[in-house]
Amino acid sequence: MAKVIPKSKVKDRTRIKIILILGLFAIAWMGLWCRALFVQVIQGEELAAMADRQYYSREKITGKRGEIFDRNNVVLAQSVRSKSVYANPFLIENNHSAAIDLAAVLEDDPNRMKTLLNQKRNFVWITRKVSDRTAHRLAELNIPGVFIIDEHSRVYPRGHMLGQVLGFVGIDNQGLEGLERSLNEELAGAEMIIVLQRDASGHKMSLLPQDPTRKMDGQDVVLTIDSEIQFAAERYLASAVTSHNGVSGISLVVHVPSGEILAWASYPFFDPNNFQRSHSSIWRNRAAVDLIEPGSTLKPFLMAAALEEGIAKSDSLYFCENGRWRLGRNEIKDVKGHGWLTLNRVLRYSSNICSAKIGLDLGQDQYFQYLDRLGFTTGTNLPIPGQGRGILRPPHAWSKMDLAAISFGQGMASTTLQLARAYLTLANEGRFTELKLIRDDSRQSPAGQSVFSREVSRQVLSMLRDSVEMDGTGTMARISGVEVGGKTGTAQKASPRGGYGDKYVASFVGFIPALEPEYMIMAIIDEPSPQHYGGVVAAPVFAGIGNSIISSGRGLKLRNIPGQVIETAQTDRSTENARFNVNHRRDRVPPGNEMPDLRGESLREAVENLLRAGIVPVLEGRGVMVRDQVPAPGESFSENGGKVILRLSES
Amino acid sequence: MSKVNKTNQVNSPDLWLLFSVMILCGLGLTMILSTSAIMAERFYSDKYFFFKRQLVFVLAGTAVMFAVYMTPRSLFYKLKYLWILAAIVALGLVFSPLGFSAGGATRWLDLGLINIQPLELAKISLVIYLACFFAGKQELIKRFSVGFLPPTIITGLFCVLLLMQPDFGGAVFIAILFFLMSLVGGTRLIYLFSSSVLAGITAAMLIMQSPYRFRRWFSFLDPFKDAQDSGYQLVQSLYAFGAGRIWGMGLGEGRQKLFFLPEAHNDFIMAVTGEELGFIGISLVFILLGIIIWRVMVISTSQADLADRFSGFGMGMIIILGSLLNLAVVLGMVPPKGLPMPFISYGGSSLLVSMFCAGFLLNLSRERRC
Repeated sequence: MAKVIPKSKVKDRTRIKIILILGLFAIAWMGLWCRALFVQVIQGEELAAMADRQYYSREKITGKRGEIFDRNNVVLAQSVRSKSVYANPFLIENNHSAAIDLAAVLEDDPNRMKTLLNQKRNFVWITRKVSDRTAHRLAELNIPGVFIIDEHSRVYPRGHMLGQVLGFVGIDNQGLEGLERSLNEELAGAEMIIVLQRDASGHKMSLLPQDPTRKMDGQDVVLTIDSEIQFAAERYLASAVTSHNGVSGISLVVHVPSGEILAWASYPFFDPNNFQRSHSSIWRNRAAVDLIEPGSTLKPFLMAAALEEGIAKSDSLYFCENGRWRLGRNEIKDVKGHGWLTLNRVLRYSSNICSAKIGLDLGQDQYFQYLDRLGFTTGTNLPIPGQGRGILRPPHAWSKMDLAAISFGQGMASTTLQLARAYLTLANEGRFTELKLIRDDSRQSPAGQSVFSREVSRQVLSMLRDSVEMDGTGTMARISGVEVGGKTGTAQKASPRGGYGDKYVASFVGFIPALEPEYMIMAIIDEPSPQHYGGVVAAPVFAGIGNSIISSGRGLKLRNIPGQVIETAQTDRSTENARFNVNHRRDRVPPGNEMPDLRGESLREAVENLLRAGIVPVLEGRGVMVRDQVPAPGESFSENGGKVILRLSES
Repeated sequence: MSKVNKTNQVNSPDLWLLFSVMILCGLGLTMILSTSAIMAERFYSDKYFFFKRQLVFVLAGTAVMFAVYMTPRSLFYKLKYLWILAAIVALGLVFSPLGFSAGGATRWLDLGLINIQPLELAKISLVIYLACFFAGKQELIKRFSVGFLPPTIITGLFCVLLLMQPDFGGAVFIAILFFLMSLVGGTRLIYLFSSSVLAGITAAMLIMQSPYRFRRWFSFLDPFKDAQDSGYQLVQSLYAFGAGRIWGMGLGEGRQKLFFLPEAHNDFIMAVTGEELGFIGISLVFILLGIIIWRVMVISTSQADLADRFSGFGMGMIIILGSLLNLAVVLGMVPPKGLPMPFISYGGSSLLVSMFCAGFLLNLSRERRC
């Protein structure tokens, strides 16, 4: 019995100990429960936000930028797939060796690579738009955390052709100059942020729902440009500028009845493929931006205005003062002295003195009104950025001398485009006609108001014919077999110090054929020397371009069948594209409901393609290449109950 | 003893405990399916790979629990030295070709059909041995050579074998188990105190030897300082808990298991539970755990026999200590150590042992005093 008592005492003590210890555990249990409450409820929001940052990788998918075609669907600006390399530094195991490997393949500085990889971000561009070969070699290295994605890069397959007009795009395909800039909205592919849920190994797991109906690719743009004519325009312009030691030059070919610009050349040439190598003065579109004094090329409008107003007739006589005429304190000179000239000869011999007299007869208000209606106070509505509107002061501010000077094209300034538009109006039976660059019927401008009557414009056109076909200033513009007309211009350039220096702008504007013009060709050469007469320097450009248009077999048909050209253009597009495609097209989603063949494509490419068709695929296995797919190529999307599966492999 | 049995026999298992255990097992199965499906599909091309195996373990575990519940306890007590021997042999076999490495440590025995973790066997054998030892030698245990040395040597052997694997967390678990059992069993506090000081110094030395281990151990104090490396697991675990908020993201909706959280279906399954079921789901686990603590207290204190009382306490401690340590790790309260959550984490050994303990407690509960 005595033995039992201590035993039960011990038992009781153990019971208390057990209760105490389990009590302590109960306290720990309670504490942990409170900790869970703290972490989940009180800190929850903050932690959840932090977690969110690692789950989602946002990727910007940009649709293909629209392409630019000429009127015959020759590709002028094209988007091709190219490879870019980016890294997620967090996933790189060994920054040092990765940097060295990258630098070796990309032939770059290892230290620069290291700085890139040491950034505490989960996305850094390593390099953009590398060659397929480099991309392939990088892919072979298989550095964890370094990824290669497809981008589109802009290629201008015809090199410098139409360079200044087309403009160029930046590295992110945003239009920076020219049509690329002004038409950026149409051309740019839609941007879609796709949110991918990631796992820790960086694999994209699932795609969150998005609007699959959105069209990703930008719109294509068809220009009125004819690349064959453009080629001729550039060629003759270049030879004129170089052989006459000019600084720069512009040539423009316009289809008269429609106002469509067929060629638009600027020299020196500019290759948008490589815009960084050229100075901005070269990529500037001079025809649209630069203001010039039109000089004698403005005289036909004065004549037309005078005829329209009944102030003069084509056989009215004017005294040309034998080349020198003092007006107030100023003296007006002609290149060659003339005595009495009929109106048509005033234009043919381009007498400044007689033009001034006609202008003074017409009066500033009348004259201004005509210039205004011809568009010398408004820019053209071509989609070209940075267009000038010309300088033409209001008539009440004109002195007598101003009126005289403006009569022969000095003391005012216009862009080449404004001048071209005015000539177009003259050629189109006096009806105001806008220039067009985009082949898009919705942009068709309504028939313009009539500035000159048919008879007057025909009279002026015949005067212009005479100045080429008879003994005028433009004889070098003759084209055998066709009657052409035109007007030369030889403007002294205003010097920066005021007054006029010894630099000239030589120009020529002409029509083929002379009386019912189909083409208007304009050539302007800046600062030619020693020869500086428009009739010598610029007129041959007209003749050269005109000759090539006529001999191409394309010429002299446009007037009657403009509609048909559009028809053939549509059907020709695919074959023309194939010729100029640098990289064959990989639109793997065929129209309709058929599964494209995605096998062998990169995961990203395949997913993009499917997304465009509004399908969110299910990914199986790991890797970046598509090994197999369900449904099989050519089968309907709905074959597998609407579920599209991509099986992946590493390579 | 027979008199006590007659008056206090209930002869039915403790239903509170039984249901808590079954609910935890069911929750574990659900969470394993949810956490491992994506991973299993990627690596085994079978979504249900882990789920199916765990289902087999649960069934086997239930059988074990029932068997232990039915078996007379004296059978376990009689075989106590065999248990110890088996545990030591198993721990030693880890270093033989049968050993199976995972994650830089050899903690598993590959028995063909299943892999077993000798640590789990060691826990049970230690509890049974210590229960018998303290119950049988109550008069002697205050003497150092008899009351302290033999169990210390055996526990020390377990710990050394575990440290060689290396399984630091397992060794600590065994040591704590020993400490608690001794405390209840009545060894003098001074011995316990000095031995724990000794253990502390050893642990400190082990940690200092390897700066990585040191960094890893103490990163839990500020896991965000080095979130990409040593604090990674814990940060991911806390993200999971935080993202769950009160109501959770919904079963299967958790994102942390997408390979952000290593061992998502294993040691960190509670983090995913917290993410998917929210504080509500975590509270359910806490409530069930609270019930288990309460029942362990009731069952063990109501035992008349000292061996029963100690073993009941020890079996309960295996479950409770395991659960609380696991929760403390995933909630960032103690250094991260690979300890599974009893009943919930994926893994045969851990589940079978937990079920064994539950079975043992149910066995005891039949004879509790009400």
